[in-house]
Amino acid sequence: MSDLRLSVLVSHHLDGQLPPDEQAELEDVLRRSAGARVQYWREAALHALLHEVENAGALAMPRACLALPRRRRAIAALAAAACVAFSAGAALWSWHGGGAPAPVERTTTAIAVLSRVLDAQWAAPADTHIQGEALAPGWLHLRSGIAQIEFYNGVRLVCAGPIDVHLLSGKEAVLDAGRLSAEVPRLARGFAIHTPRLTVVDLGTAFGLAVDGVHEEVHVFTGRVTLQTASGPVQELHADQAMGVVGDGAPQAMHADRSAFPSAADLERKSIAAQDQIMQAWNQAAAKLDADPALVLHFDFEKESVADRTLRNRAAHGGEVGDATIVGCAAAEGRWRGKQALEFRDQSDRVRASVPGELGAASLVAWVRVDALDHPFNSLFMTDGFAAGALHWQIRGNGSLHMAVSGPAGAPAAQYNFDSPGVFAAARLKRWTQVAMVYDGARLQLTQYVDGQAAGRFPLQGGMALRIGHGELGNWNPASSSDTSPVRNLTGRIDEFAFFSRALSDAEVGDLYRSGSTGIPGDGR
Amino acid sequence: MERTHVTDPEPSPADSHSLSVQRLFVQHQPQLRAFVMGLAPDFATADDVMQEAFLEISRKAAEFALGTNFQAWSRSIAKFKVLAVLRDRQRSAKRLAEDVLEALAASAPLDDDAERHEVAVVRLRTCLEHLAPAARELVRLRYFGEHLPEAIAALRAQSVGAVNVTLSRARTALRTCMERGKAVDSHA
Repeated sequence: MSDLRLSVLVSHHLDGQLPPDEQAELEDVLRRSAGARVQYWREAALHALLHEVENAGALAMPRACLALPRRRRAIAALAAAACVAFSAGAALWSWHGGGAPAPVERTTTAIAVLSRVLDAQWAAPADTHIQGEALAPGWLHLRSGIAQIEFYNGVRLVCAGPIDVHLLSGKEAVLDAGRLSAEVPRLARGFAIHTPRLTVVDLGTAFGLAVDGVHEEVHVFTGRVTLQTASGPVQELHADQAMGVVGDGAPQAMHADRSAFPSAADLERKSIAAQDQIMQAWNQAAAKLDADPALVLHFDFEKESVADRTLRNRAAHGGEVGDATIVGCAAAEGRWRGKQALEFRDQSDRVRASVPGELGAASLVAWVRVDALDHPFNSLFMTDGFAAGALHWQIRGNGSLHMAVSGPAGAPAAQYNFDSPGVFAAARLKRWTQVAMVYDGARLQLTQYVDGQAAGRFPLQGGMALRIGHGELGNWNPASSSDTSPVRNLTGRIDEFAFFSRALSDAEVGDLYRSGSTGIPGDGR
Repeated sequence: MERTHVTDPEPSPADSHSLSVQRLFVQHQPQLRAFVMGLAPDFATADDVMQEAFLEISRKAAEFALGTNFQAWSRSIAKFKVLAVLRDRQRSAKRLAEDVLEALAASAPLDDDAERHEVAVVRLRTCLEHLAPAARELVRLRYFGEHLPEAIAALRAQSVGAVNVTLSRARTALRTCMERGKAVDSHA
């Protein structure tokens, strides 16, 4: 039978138009010919895909839920149960098809932002805050270090640990213990801080406040404040005046001492000093890394490494592996102040790199800040196209860390997929994370890591060598003649990437995490 | 010491296992549905099979070991449901002989790959835009409207034969368009 004849018969069958004689003809050829069955599935695949594409959106919901009202099935109760079960896994549908939920305006309870954090140790792991975090009303328990809070009305508090401070609202806070300075712009007049014994209401000023057991002090640096004790009259304090109370005693006048309180300038000075130290330590670790004979690519994204659109490969033994090319991508701040990064935000943003040859083992380590999962697949590092041995390292829209290797011709599957679910949940977005992938062809094992810890280990099929060739960081080139391809750019930043031609051990990945994470503000780990 | 009353207990291991299996079903649903539609091309029949398959997979979730081949397991369940549903409506549904369906099920290609599926969806959208307007409209009536050629013929005041020919040619054109992109990929 000719391909064309078979194609017509299958088409008739798919449309329910197969008369008995044609049906016998089709069945006969499908029984006899494996080639006909292959062609049948090609036609049938298009049939299913057309139905999916034409119903995009409707199909974003499970068919078991949808089919019912339309077809009026009798087993309504059963199907309703199925729909309930589906909705339990509903998050997985988030990216599916065009079935976006009706737009709902986002809401927030945040009143302030943790604008800077230095050497912070928080009271409890569950109570940890990171630089840049939006703060809703609630307690902050800082054991040591400095944290700067900016209220949305412009009030700035610089808090030195140990301190227990409660943000009540956009214009009120409680200081239970510790030492802070407040700077209140004219527009935010009336901002109040309560301590166990005092209420300080600001009238446009800068002041310091300390609570140490039964001892409390207010120091006014500029402007004026009003001061209310539990029993006494309301008092006004002016610039350079200070007042102290001990227990239930009467307030005592003191000299204002600016140096006794943390200040924004002080925080700035300290963080510049800390930044120099961190950069130095990181530079030493990076230089050691560069000497590794198996290191093929090492991008640090520093200013000195970026010349025009070229990103310098730091690997000392990179050999024929050259520099990368930057397309798009704005410069951005990296893991800590002073560390450079590249930002991927647009579908054009990408860094093109190349790793020649066949690899039996490889390790990829990247420091990334994922801001959002905008696409079904969000690229970390991806070989162009889908040729045999291609490596696709991505984050799926549902937060899974995803690694795929295209199988060689004749392999049972076109592609081998390895998913570590739930890695990029909401809590991990917008914070710097080390991700690593170790492909160990000798031990037939693939391991994915998050912040130095194994997040998933998978057995590998034998005999699959990686062929990277041309690839991209933060995006994907489908290397196809098709005029349309999916958008897979990363939404976020990368500030370091290393590619080894050997399998790193768990301990080595852990060490890289530790040497790279010391400077991350507010992580306290 | 007073104990906190817990109103929302953690799911038991068995619950979380069947939830994981149901999640796999959701993840693999487009591919499983394509398999079902290959055996039972009628949309309503395929819907019913998918529904039955989901219930059966939920019932048998405990039998599935996470980390093993979900596609093979779910396909074997779906295949039995296809045969059962088609037997039920022997008279009303046009269907291929059971031994042919078995042979087809055994030779269905592995396509368990969301990444390529996404690429195929994007490509098909583009290829659809390149179809001649009249063919595009017929494809829309067939797949979005879920009309059979008889109904389309009535709607368009055409003969059923003409609709059949247009649909068959449209499919060939779409397949050619999609495979052009694929051929280049494999040589990339």
